[in-house]
Amino acid sequence: MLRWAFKSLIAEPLSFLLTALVLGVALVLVIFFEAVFAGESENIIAYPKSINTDVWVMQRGIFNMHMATSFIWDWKRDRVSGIEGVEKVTPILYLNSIVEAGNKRWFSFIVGLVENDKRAGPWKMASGKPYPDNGEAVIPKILADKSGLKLGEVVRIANKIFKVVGLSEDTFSMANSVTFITYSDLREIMSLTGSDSYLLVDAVPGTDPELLAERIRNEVEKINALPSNEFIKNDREMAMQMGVELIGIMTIIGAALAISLSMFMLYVFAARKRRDLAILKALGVSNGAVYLSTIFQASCLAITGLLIAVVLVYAAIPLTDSFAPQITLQITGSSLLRLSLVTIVVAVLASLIPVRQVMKIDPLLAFQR
Amino acid sequence: MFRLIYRQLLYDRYRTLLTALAIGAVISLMLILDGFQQGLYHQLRMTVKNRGADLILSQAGVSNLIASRSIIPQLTRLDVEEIDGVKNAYPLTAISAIYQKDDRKNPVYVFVYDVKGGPLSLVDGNFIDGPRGIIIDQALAKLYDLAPGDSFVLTDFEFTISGISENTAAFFTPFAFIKFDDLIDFYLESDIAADITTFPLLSYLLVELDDNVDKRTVSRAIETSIPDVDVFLPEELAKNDVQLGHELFGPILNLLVLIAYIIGLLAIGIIMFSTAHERKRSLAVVRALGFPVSKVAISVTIETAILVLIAFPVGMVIAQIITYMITWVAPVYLVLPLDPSTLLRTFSACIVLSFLGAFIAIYIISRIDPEIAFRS
Repeated sequence: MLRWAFKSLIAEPLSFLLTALVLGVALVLVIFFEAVFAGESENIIAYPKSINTDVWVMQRGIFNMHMATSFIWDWKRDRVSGIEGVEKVTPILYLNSIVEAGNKRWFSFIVGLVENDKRAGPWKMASGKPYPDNGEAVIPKILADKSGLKLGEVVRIANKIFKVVGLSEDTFSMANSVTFITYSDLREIMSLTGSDSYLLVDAVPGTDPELLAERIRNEVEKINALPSNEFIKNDREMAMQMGVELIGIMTIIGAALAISLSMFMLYVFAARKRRDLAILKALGVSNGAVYLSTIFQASCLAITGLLIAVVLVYAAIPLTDSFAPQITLQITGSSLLRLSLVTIVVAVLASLIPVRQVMKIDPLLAFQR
Repeated sequence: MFRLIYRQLLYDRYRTLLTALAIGAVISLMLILDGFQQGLYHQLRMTVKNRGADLILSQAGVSNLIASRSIIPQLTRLDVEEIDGVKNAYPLTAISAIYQKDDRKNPVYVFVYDVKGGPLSLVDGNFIDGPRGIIIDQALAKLYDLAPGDSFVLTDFEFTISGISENTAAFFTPFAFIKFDDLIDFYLESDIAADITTFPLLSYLLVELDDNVDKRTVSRAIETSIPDVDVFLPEELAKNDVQLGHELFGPILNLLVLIAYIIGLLAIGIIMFSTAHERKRSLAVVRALGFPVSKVAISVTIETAILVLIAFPVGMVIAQIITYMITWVAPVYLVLPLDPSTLLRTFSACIVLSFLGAFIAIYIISRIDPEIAFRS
């Protein structure tokens, strides 16, 4: 029975493939949406991940960087430096704000780098110099390309103008790209005195970062210290959490679309095969077996659609990189697993109405001309 | 010809219904994605307009309200109130913070207000009338199961929820509102920085003008006498924020809408393909009766357009149901599927898609041999 179901399904290959293609494109929307969120979440953590320090020290009650504001007294920097296991402490200032170039604007992590300290700056450059002097900025290359900015041209942060002296790689994110300026420039923009935003703590080799973070929390009051992996995890989780509902909603919409399209195609298919189905019933094939074959056909369509969706999204990655470099796609295993489960639901629900139609077929039809 | 189309649609009502449902589902997808984009921009626009000011002052060089850091010297308020035509200047401060509870973290945009600038309406509870009161957006309340009277700890400072506001979110971020008295306590109690001026005490001034004064004249007067600030009409600042939304999310949202249109084209195409394929024999009869290909093609095109017209309201209903679901699950998002611009854009796209979809059927019809009408 299943062989008949499969053979009759692929007897019209064009129809089968087109239907699967439509389902595939509907599922692409779901994969694509989640891939954008996953890619963006990775971009958001690019700075803490690439800086690769052992422990992050910040204001009490703060536990990440994305969309956070942190201030700690600068004298606490000396306190942290004196703790056993600490090799180097690098302060940064950090502001989440808007950078403007002409009529273009973008959100940015603006990082203020201590002059003559090369610990916290960009990790990969496309061109120009990596460490800005006062009045200078290093911006992501993607943004420069997008805005038509060249080295030597200017951007504005709040009311201050900066000359672009370097274009960095791997620092772009739709929500928060990373812009580097000097510590004193950012301090002026923030009207700040006597405070750092974060302290990057490098541990003495062989020191456990978790124990060191705990020691810092115990010895310096009203701060928070986290090992780098936990800090990065917090940022990634928060970025993904912001998209969880949206991803869920898009999954439901994509699945609903796939269900209604599959339902239509299977209905049409069953209508075309009425006579064949009547013959099967006249030959004594039970209703159950006919239902099963309908569900099987729906499953074949849905699985082929899923495969097409995966191929389309993987094919879209290099295209997106070329034509929309600001969008980073990352396909996760969990996304594919969830979509596979959705596909099963699609297959079962899509066969409900066609099954009703099959049930009503009169075996007598087989003997009519 | 119209009678033929009419009869054809009524011949298998179940099928017509399923077709309308399938096309309607595709239309609802287009409406939702476009409506999501419009909702995002609407939220940005209303964030500025709902602050209730005639003019909004920001730090010189800062031209956005949302997600910008603006710091205005505190004495500016007095200077502004001295200017002719200005009735009052109300302070507004904006801070971004992270709320965490039960291992879940959420960014929150906190507006600190005095008289003006707070939420316009509440769905539960009361406006702040005591110390340490906070009003949170219903998205936060829903997400964390919070109600008036509950504690709300932000950056280690404990507030008590006075009320739950609605339509107070933008950029996927819910807002919270606190009073200025609590901001000072919030900063002092946290004891984290050397100088309280480190923190933004005054970000924006919401200016209320005397009756019958020209907004632009007063705006120019303020900018001339106070160089530390930039002055915006609310609609100008709203436009800047919407523009920012376009630049940040435009590429991805446009891409999603494009995918929805491709799905629409494919779906309508495949539906018309299977319709024509299935009716090959009856179409051959029509051809054998002497109808030229062009007439049959027009008939199929009209039929496609009628199907799309039937499916459009179905799509609107599905989109509205999904929108209710979205708002129920995550009130931080605003989807406007029935926004006139969204409807017009989607409807125009559907008309184009129905014509393109009909091409596939016409291709099949053009290849039909009328002779098959006489085969047994």
